[in-house]
Amino acid sequence: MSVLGRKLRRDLVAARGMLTAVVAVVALGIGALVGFQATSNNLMAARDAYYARCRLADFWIDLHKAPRTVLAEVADIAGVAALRGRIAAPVIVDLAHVPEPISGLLLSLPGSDEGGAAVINDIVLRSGRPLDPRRDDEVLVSEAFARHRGLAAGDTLALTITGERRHLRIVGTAISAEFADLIPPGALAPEPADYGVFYVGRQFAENATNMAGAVNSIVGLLTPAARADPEPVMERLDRVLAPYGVFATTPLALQSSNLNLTAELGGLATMATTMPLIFLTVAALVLNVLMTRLAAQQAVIVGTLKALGWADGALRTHFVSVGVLVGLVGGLLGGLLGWGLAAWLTEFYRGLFAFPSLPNRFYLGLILLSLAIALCFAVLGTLRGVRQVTRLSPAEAMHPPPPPAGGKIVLERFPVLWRHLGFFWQMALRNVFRNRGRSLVGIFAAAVGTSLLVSTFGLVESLAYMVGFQFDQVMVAEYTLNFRTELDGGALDEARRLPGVQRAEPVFAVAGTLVNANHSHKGVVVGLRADATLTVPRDGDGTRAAVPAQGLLMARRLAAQLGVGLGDRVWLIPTKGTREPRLVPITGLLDSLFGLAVYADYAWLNALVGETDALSAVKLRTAQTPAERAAFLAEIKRMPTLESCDDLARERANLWQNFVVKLGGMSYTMILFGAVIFFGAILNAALIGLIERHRELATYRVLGYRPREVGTMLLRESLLLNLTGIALGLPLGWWMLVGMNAQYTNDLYMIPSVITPTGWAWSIGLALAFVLICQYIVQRQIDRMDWREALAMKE
Amino acid sequence: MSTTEPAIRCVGIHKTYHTGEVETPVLRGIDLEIMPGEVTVILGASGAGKTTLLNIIGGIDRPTTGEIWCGGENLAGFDDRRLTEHRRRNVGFVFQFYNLVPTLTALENVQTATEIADRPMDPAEALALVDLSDRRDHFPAQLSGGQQQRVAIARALAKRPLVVFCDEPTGALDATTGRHVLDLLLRINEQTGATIVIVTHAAPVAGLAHAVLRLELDGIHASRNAKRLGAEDISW
Repeated sequence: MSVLGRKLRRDLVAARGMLTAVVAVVALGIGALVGFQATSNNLMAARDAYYARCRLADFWIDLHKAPRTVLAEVADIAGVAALRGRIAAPVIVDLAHVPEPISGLLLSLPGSDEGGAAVINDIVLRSGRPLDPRRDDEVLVSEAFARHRGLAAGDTLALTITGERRHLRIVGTAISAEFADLIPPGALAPEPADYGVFYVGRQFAENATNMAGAVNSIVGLLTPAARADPEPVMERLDRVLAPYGVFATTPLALQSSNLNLTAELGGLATMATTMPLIFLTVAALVLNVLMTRLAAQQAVIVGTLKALGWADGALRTHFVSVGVLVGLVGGLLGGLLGWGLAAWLTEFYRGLFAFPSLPNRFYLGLILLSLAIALCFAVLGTLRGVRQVTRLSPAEAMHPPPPPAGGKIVLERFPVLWRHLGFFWQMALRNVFRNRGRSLVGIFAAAVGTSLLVSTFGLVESLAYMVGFQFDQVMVAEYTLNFRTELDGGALDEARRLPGVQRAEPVFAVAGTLVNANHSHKGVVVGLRADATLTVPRDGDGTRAAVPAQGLLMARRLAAQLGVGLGDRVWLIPTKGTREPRLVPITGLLDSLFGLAVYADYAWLNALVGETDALSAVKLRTAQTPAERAAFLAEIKRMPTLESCDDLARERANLWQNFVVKLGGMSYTMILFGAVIFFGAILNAALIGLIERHRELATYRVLGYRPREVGTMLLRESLLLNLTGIALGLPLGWWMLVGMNAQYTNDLYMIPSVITPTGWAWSIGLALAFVLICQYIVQRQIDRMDWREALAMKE
Repeated sequence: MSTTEPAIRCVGIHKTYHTGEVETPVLRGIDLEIMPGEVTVILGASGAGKTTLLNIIGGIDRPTTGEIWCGGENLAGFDDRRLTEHRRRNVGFVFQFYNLVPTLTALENVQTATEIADRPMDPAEALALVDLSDRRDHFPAQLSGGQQQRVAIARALAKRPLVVFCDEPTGALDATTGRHVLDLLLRINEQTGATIVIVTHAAPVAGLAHAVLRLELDGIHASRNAKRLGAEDISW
């Protein structure tokens, strides 16, 4: 090893504490880059393979009922490459040992006469065997549901389809790409135990749903040209199929499962760019401070080496190698960490999404790229220090540096204020202002560290707020009974007589198309009674929005999409019945969090479509003994008109468990990330300060300052920097939270950005705790400092 | 001999440094007395253990064995905490390289002592004593070496210590400036009655003292000057 190499090794050993801190920050940055990007790659590869394997559709059309013969006509529409008609129907699953009625979706698979072309939205068999085309009593069950409910091939399953109870034999389990993220209608999260998909033969489906020779769901592929711009094709499809009552036309981009998967990938992409950027920037800045200090400290040595004839190039290489080493070690550790993070995240997504396989692959290219990025940041961080070293002429360098110049700081121009600060705070402020660049690095690190904490707590609290808002303020019923068809007021009386029911309120939902000029939206108008207490439309901030006696109360986002405002009129074309367009006024606007809601008065909406007392759902509030509850569930299980029964407490618990709790668990990782930023930056600054001011601190000790008093001097400076950083980090974190939440906002829901005083307090408290822990370490160094030695030496 | 109590009395001071297996005895049985209100010069060649002795009688370090009596207490038995309190109350220091805080003005450097003392001078008054009233808002980098050392002296005096210890106070200064600093120390001794201990290797400085302690290999030799010189009379 050359003499410079030996010197390097000893320099590194001497600065090991500080270098370790920088390496940790680099490693986390690279870990985040590799981890999030690899997870994203894993998901995308699994998604693409899955979509291709299932021939996932480019569009979905839900309609009332259309004859199969219309399919040929639809297939001729320009832009449509292939399509398949199928039957989809809500079913109630009656499991012997489960008291509640469980909802599900019945889907028909192609009949034997449809052979030939590969099936669009095909299934992937996970266990058992495919349906036998010669039999019509077989069913394939979605894998997650079967697993959660302990169902397997050979079991018999009782399904209530259009009011009739049928027994089917399970022959296997399956999954399909259109349900990679299977969210029950009206729910916000997957409920794998409480919602299943049941694949049956076409013949069976036709018989069971009275749809002989008809379909109510069309899925299809577009030509490559149409795929780039599906909107015109969607409109044509809509027009051709309008006579059959189209409920929804959904291009792939807006399909619920695909939408959620895309949002998740977007979230990962954001994390894979912002986190590494934050961490590597902090690492580069801290390294910059470290290296300029090393350069200053070693100026005399460098001058001497130059005088001895060492070339600038060799010295430059010598100092740059510190950066290279930090980049290499941090990059390699980060690569390993990232691989582990990807394994962990991928495992998490295996639980969240249903893929045939979601392996965690090793991406050599990504690791090499990350290593290169780590090296770039680390070397950039050393450049200023290196320049300082090589710029010195030997004669200049061999002189000890002049004492650092003092000077008045800005605050001293305000003598009244300055005098009030007191001596020790004046001292602290001087030091903070004198090392302006270094102070800014400290403030920056504290700000981003705090913002990580704020956005993490905010994310959990926003989700908690959203769940609480929906279940405690809007959907305050305990059960919702959804019916397959509109019923009359008798159903309400029947619901009122169910065991333990205290209050029952009717809901009348009219599916239709809202049209304004060339803007249209397919959706549902929900009719609520004026005295409704179990469904309470609210603005995002929680204020109750009254349903007007006439006209529509519309989500502001939908109004914007339709290009209408308060007092304007839109056409409402009901999907069922006479489909006669009605011009209706918009009499209220609502900032709702979920869906593009439209509300109207129950009686007014009834009258609008020529009905009286028609209802499509009943909301219930109950006060049940366990016996009453059992009797209640047994009765609704037998209701022939029931489409589904939402148990809102169970939905709430599921959502809480699957999102709020899981996210809460993940937030510990983010808090750890924040901690590393704080420790990496603060500790480094503090340790550098300790070395630089060794002599000054020793002088205080001789003057009779107690170790704690010397520590407090440093603490004041640390507090000035970190409190400023924390104060800046709070709005920064809020802004990050709003950005992250916007990432997940779509037509289905928007995540409101919420941080409670508790969340703020935790963020500030943790940030302060990190600062104080650093201070504790610094104090221990001061306690152990050999200040007698420091006094004897000349600077 | 005077009948007053000495400000500091040392009995049988030994100091041995241990570096791994190697024992290095530096002080071997030192007895000495520093009388209050006097200027005492401790003389010794390089390596004689001057600084070690100063550290021990100044309450910076502890002897291996021996006693240091100051204000009725034996510093040898003090732990770090009590030594700190002792320095805080009773002792002022002037260093060869001044040890001023670069980010503080002259006045503020004096304040670093007055802020923690029980009955300090007004820092401005201390600066006036060293004739630096007009430089009170200057930072160390804006002051000459002699001026910086005067600030250090003001800092040492400002807490009204029992003893001011000066470790080679002229070591970093040219002869003329050094003489000014010594003159200042003598003047302060006369005006305020401060007890001053100067440690130096420069023999001529001994002429200024009331008492001289020569640190030799075989121990310490005390003598008194019948006639003291002025700072302008000496050169080194």
